[in-house]
Amino acid sequence: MKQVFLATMRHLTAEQFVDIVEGREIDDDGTRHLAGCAACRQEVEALRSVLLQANIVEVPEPSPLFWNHLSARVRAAVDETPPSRWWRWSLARVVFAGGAVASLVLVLTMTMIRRPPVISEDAPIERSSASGSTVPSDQGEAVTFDEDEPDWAMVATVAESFDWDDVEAGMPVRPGSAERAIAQLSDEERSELARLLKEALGLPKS
Amino acid sequence: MFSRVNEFWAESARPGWKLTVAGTSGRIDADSRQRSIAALASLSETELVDACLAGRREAFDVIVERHRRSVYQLCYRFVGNHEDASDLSQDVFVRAYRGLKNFKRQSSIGTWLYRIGVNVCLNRVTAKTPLLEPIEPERHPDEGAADPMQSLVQSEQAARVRAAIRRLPRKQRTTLILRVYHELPHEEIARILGSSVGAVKANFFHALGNLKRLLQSEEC
Ligand SMILES: [Zn+2]
Repeated sequence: MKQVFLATMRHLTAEQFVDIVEGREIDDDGTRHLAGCAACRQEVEALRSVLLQANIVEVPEPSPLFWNHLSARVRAAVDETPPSRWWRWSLARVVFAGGAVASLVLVLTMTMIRRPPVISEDAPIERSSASGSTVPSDQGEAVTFDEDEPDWAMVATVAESFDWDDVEAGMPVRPGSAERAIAQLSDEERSELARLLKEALGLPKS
Repeated sequence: MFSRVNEFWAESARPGWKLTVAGTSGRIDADSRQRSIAALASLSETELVDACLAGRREAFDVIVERHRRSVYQLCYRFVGNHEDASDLSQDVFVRAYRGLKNFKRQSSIGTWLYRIGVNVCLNRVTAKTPLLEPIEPERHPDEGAADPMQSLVQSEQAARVRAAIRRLPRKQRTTLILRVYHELPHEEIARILGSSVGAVKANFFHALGNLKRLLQSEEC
């Protein structure tokens, strides 16, 4: 009778084994099965034993100085990371509101006089591959950063050339910053900036 | 919430900032940074994220300070040496900083960092670690232990277990590390791995079973 009873019952599931090993209760059927099944009891003991063995492995404690060293390394690496688009754009607004836009327009006008831009509406601006990276969000999907929208990329390129720490500290932008920013742009980027500024100023496109 | 962040912003935007010659960035001196970090230390994690997104760079320093130990330990569990664990920890935080705007606050920062850490470590481990590693004793047995022989035996056992863990399939290894050494609930591991609680428990069960077999085969 007992053999028939055992034969009709399944062994514990993986989930039930884990619950038992971790000290949680399982349902009555599982508990009854465990009481009558030597194989499952043996498996539980084996799992407990290997869990004990796993627990002896410690991570060696690094030097107490290491933690601040790690923070400093992260800080340095982060400081080398170009700010992401939202940040550059929010700062760019500060700069532009602060009068740098006037300087840009002036330089742009001079630039346009020297070298007429070829306006290309659909020319995307190449971004460094280093700026794109995949970091998992906290929602489960991998997110690829999109820094390729030409308009924002344009502003970002200009914004990158400013000394943002000056701006953060409420310092006026140094004379010549806008000129240096423009000078560092490629022809394609310069054209795109021209298009954006014309659009903003309500000037005809060509 | 943003008003608190703005208060801290105002706090730090005082003299103490200094400018350097053209061509280099302005630098905040170490004292100012420390004061700023101390002021931010009382913020909750959500407020710290807001502060970071509002441009408070020091807020990220506080996040690093709170999570550096657990991130380092996670990395060490995967690679088994200090040098690589340090590099990987740095990588985890830099990726987190870059991706902060993608943090949707549906889990804790800690869980999110674990998730990034697992990705970073598995990529590195896949790229660098040979499938089978020789089992070596721990490099630093506890020299202060009462019984040096017992300490040596323990360190050899630990090395054997560590090597066996590294032979587990990726999901099993990750589950075991997060469950046994970081004591994360199954639900949180499921969020990190993007699977169900049932799958996490099954992975854990198989991880323990395989670990047992690997350790037994080493003893023979
Ligand atoms: Zn059974």
